[in-house]
Amino acid sequence: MRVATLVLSILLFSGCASQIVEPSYYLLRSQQKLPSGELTPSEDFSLGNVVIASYLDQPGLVMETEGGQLRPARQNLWAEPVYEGVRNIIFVEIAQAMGEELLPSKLSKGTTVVDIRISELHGTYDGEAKLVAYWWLERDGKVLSSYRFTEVTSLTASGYSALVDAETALLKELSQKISASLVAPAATGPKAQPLGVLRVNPSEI
Amino acid sequence: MANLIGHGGCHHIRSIRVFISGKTEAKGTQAKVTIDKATIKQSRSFSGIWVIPIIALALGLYMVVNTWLTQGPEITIAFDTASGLEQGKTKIKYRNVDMGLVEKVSLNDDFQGVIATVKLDRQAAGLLRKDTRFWVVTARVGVGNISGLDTLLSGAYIQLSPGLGEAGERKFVGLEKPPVTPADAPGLRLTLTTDLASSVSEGDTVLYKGYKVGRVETMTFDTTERKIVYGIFIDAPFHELVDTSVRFWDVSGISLNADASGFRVETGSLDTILFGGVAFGVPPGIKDGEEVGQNSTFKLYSSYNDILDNPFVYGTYYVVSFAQSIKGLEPGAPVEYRGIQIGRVERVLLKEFLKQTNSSDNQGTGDPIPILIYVEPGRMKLPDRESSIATMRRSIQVGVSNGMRATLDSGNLLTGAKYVNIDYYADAEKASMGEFLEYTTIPAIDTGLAQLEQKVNSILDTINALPFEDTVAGANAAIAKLNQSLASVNALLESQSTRGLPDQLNQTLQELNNTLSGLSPDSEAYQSINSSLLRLSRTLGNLDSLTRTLSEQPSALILPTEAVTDPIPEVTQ
Repeated sequence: MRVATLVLSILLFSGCASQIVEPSYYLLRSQQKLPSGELTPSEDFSLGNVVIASYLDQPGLVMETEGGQLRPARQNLWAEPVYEGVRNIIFVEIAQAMGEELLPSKLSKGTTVVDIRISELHGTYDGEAKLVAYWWLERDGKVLSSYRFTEVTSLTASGYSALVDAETALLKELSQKISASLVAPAATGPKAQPLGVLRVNPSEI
Repeated sequence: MANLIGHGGCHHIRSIRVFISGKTEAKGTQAKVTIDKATIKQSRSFSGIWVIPIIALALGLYMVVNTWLTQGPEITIAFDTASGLEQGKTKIKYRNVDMGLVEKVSLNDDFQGVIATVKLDRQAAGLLRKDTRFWVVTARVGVGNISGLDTLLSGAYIQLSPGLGEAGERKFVGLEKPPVTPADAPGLRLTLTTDLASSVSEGDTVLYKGYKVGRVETMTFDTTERKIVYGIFIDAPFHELVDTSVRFWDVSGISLNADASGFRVETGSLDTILFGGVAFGVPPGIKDGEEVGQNSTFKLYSSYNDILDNPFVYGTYYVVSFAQSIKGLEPGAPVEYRGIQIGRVERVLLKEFLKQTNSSDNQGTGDPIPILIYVEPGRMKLPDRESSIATMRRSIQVGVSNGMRATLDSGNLLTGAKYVNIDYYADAEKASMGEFLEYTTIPAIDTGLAQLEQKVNSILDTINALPFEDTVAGANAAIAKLNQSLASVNALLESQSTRGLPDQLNQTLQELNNTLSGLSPDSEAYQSINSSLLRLSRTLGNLDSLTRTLSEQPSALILPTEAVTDPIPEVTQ
């Protein structure tokens, strides 16, 4: 009996003796230095839904390995739901570009609403970060125009911190494109599109 | 001497002489007699005494032969009365030439008329034919004319009008009135029949396009056919206008028609207005006819519109039997083929149907009711002649074998008038033509409309059978209860406690609003819930990782597992 108890205890403790890796947490935030003071909300535009692809809605950062497989990280996790970080960056960067803040659409009626969908946001095995996004402007239930943003950027260093920085840079660039489309939404035609932005039909979204 | 002559026989006694000779003296007389022998000599010469008898005999023979040769025929003429006839005085005339004399006037055997025996001249024999006519010419004053005034002085006479028929007739029936047209007049003599007598009478004119071309000669009533029969005569050369395509109609008087286009007055000539008349012509749509012979029979239509309604002469009868209600089917109703009228309904053969049903074992079996229809080939654009009837019959017979059926359709839904329609039905059951009495039958089927009517009637019967009174009574009771319930609800609503409900509800909603506002994104509760959800999500993520690890390596609970490292994003050169 004693021998059996001893063996079982050894086995249990040997299972617990596996190596414990402490996860790392990352946060998506703009690098802009935000001044203190009263906000100036936009009277013409508001920020609607920011939706992310389902594969991104998980705690870990996502890597695309060689062969096209996606691997969510187990030790490199988001400190908050990723959609919150995305929405935060877009909110700050648009405010920086336009000089006014886009309040949530439910708080500002009668404005042109910007809805955003993040289709892809992950790192690749060859040292790049990739962002594919769509956004469209909507007023009174009618879509005025719609756009697509596809961009990749190389990492400046190895590791997940560099990947987060690259993704932050891509989201900043996306925010600038969105800001450019908000200047005159009705007048923006396909020929006036900035680099990396393509106006698309709503049915493609 | 006479005996000698008489006994001469065939021998002629020329002479018999006896000679006595002697001398006669005073003194003593001596007589000497010498007798010569008679010599009989046959005489060969003609005696002149016979001339007179012979001449008398010859004259007698001549007179007999002459009388026989010059004697005319003796005829008898029957009249209703002997008015104007006098025995031995009344003459027979032809073209105002005396042709004979009435020798005897006597009653006939049944005393219903008189028979005049007339002795005619020999030259009149050639005039005696089967259709030679005689009538008494006297002074007559009619509606349209006055004639025979000369007889007031000369006396009545019998007029002879030679015919064209077979010669040798000796018994004649005299006309009570002078014929309108001489029998030998060139032209065409026709017979017109009509069911209804009009104002047309003898002597009336016959018109062609308003021009007088003939006259009505006779008017009689045929008791067998129960029809009025007119005899008319069309003068040459107008008789060439008459063929089988022409129709005759009554143009007597003035015809006044009123329809949607207004009033229309139709008249013939002044003669026809005053005295009546007959017109003929070819109605529109009738093809060229065939030549007609003497005494051909035509129908006399009552008006030109009657011809337009029934322009065809030839037709045939069929019988169609329907096992459905024939209400609304009247005589004269049209018989149509795909909307084209090809005939009319004559009548319902109800009497014949009942007679046949009662004499058979089919009583009470609901046999279909036979309808007699009259179909005219001319309405099918066939020539209006008798041969077209056979053509049409063959077509109908072939059609029946290919699905041709008769149906009873509604011509007017408002009035319910029906008509017989003939058409092809591909899904009709196989049937063949039969016979009903002397008529050929066309198989009939029930139409969809009749079936629909039956269904509608069935539905209406069902509706009629519904217990409306009970239903209404039940509804009234339910409404009464509903009124009671509404009164109770009204009382409930008006109660103090119910009136206080909205206030309480408002208060509850306000409290709910306050509670929800505590859960807004800016509230502490929202933050707490959000944080809890985040931790729950991570726990679930870890649990998911654990279960995945266990599924991949079930011994991971008790055996050391190899730590899985994340792929490190590396910068490529």
